[in-house]
Amino acid sequence: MELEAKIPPGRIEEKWTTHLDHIRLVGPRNRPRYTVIVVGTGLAGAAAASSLAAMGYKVECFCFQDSPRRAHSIAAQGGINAAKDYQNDGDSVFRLFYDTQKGGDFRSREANVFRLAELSTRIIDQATAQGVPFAREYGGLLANRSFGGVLVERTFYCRGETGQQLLLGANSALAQQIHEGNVQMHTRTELLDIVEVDGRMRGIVVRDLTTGDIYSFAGEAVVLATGGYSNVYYLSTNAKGCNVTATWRAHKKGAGFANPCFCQIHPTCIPAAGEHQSKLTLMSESLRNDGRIWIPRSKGETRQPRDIPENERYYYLEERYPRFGNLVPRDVASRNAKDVCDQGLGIGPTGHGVYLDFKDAIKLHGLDVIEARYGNLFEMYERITNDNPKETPMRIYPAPHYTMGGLWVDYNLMTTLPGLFAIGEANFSDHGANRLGASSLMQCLADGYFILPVTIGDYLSRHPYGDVDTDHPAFKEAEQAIKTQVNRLLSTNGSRSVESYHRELGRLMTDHCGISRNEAGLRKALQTIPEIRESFWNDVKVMGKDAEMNQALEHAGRVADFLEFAELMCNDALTREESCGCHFRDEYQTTEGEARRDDENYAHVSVWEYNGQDQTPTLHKEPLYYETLPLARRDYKA
Amino acid sequence: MASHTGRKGAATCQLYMRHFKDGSEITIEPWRAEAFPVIRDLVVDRSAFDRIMQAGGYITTHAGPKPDPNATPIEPEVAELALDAATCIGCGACVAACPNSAAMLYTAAKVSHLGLLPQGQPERYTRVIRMVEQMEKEGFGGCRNYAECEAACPKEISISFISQMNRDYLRASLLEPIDRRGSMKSQ
Repeated sequence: MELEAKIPPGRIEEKWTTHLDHIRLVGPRNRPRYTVIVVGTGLAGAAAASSLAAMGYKVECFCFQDSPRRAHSIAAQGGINAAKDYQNDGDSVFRLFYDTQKGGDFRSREANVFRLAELSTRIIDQATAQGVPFAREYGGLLANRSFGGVLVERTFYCRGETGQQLLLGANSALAQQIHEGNVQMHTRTELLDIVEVDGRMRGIVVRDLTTGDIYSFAGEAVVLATGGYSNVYYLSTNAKGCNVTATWRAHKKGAGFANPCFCQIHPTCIPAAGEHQSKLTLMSESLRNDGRIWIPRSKGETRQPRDIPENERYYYLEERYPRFGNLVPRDVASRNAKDVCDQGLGIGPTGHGVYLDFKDAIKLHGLDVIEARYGNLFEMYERITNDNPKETPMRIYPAPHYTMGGLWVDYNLMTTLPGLFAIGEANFSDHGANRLGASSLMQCLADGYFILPVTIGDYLSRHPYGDVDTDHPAFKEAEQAIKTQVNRLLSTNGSRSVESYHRELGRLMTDHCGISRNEAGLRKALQTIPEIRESFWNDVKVMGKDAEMNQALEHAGRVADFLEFAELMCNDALTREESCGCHFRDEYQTTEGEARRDDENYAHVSVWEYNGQDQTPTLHKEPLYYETLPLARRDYKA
Repeated sequence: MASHTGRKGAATCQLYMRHFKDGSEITIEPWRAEAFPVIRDLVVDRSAFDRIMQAGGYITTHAGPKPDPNATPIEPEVAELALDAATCIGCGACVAACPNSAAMLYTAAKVSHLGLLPQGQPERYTRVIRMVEQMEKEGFGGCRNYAECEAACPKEISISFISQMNRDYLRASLLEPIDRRGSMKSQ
């Protein structure tokens, strides 16, 4: 496997513009001759599909939801970063680059991160032009808030529903292109395989989720914007439908999978109430702007939180990290929450929870101000827990949320397979070992609006168009393989539900490949996963038929992929013998319990190559270079 | 699923068992409206909503360079009001709750979101005409002021947006042709 990152030469500030100056383009008259397949309609997918179509390409766009606007980007709450420096607090493109690189614990590619920071300002311009109603100040100018891991206010927001508003913006652009006939939209259609013809990725095989039909689409390039894989943990903040199928099947076709063990556990979620819960709810990180996190100082505390006097409260983040306080990055906040709960100080019925308290913020700013900032989040919390956060502190606990790992891509966002691109959360490129808050929306839109539509031209212009259609035997073969798999799932007729396997896998991954990992646990997981997988294929019961809407069957296919993918994740976690960002290995920590990186041996991207069922995958390394920002210890204490 | 839950500002999926009284009877059914055909069990086809958006629910723009957003200040009240409309999640409870199966609240929320903002002004009147025409083509009923939609809306969107849409629609139909692309009837 060749890992040619294609990073342009020159100073970091010039790389992207130089690249644009020299990249090959497809002329406007030729663009309609190329068909680009875009899978996924979240922020990255909708932005890419609409931008490609507006340029003139023919776009076939797919989503498994009933409408493109129901992609899970909609759930992002807090905001989107941009280096506008509207607040005059010393922000700049360089500082956003610095924060993102440092936040990612120096495990991402400098050139990509800088490009992201550079494009951030244009995203705000673009979204505003589309009619995204960002919060405004009294004078009518855009308002900002701050997020974890940074010392400036650069986050733009629409109450607590920034993701929804940005997605409506991207989707309105997509709707226009659908209306004008430049995008063919296929809803309720799930990608099940990617088809290669003569060394290039030329199409996909899909299943119509309403009728069960399996058929193919051909094109000149395939773009995956299919999100992350946090649902490998079963309980996560992702929508129930989010899955690894598209990226995993691309991996099985030969695409390198980068850093699969980098998974962010978000610190502010509503704690799980019991065994049968199927989903966790995220509370925006923006709450940490005004909320103070604490736990009782003594074990076995039974008093109501309001009755616990100030001196018996342990504001552990403020004490441990005086400079950043409650606004430390997500991985640090999550690890500390787990740490205090492991010490037996956790609150709530399960002991897995900490308080997030707004009492002081309400006293300082007044109830009106706090309500205006977080009203809908409070309402959401109250609806779920039946507690009113204005009167009693919220209870929160970390939950799997975002996956920094993903398909390996070069500077043009192309995977190791020619003609297969990955954008948004589906790729690995910008967040290193940990993503900062309000950066995912930024990356999805930068990839979708500004990067992919241009860089894909460099690939397309080198290849002919229209020379392959779905009559090619490669398509028939792939369709047949999918049909065989579907039949196998339906005919196993065992005794256990798909859900029970997913839950079993999730528990295993949470215990051994979660907030902290160690060799013994990972080895145990690596031993157990193949057993679960074997049991799945011999004893799973999938109800219903093939030629109908069958959600159990959809879920079964996705869980089958998680059962293979989980093994790769553990392998990656095991071979990375250091702690960095969200990847915390118990064996590698400082005496103060902070992550201890090993830059000498692990300053690289781990890229895995698939070698076939039950074969050990091959590890390739893309070395990382630190030309602009010297490696520094990620310290939020000083 | 039935939208009548007796609980304001909540979608059916946001209800908990504690919201019901012991022993009370719960009826579940798919959204009932001709324009939302049932696919299976409780699953309905809401693509009619998407086609209303496709007919004009956007501001025409490309991903090229744009003016700085602060070049056009927007009063916070206006931005907030636009957001009140834009907060619509397109669930369809308004249609299911309406005795006429009207999609006026949904369409009005979409029309008003863009129509209230300065960026949305150039296409304001063509947009309302196109979206309302598509809404009618999809087979939704007309508004008879039952206001059941507002009561059922999980995002508590106000029916005053419907008046706003009606005003814009009326104005658009009476006005001189303002669209140079000829999509409106010229005099």
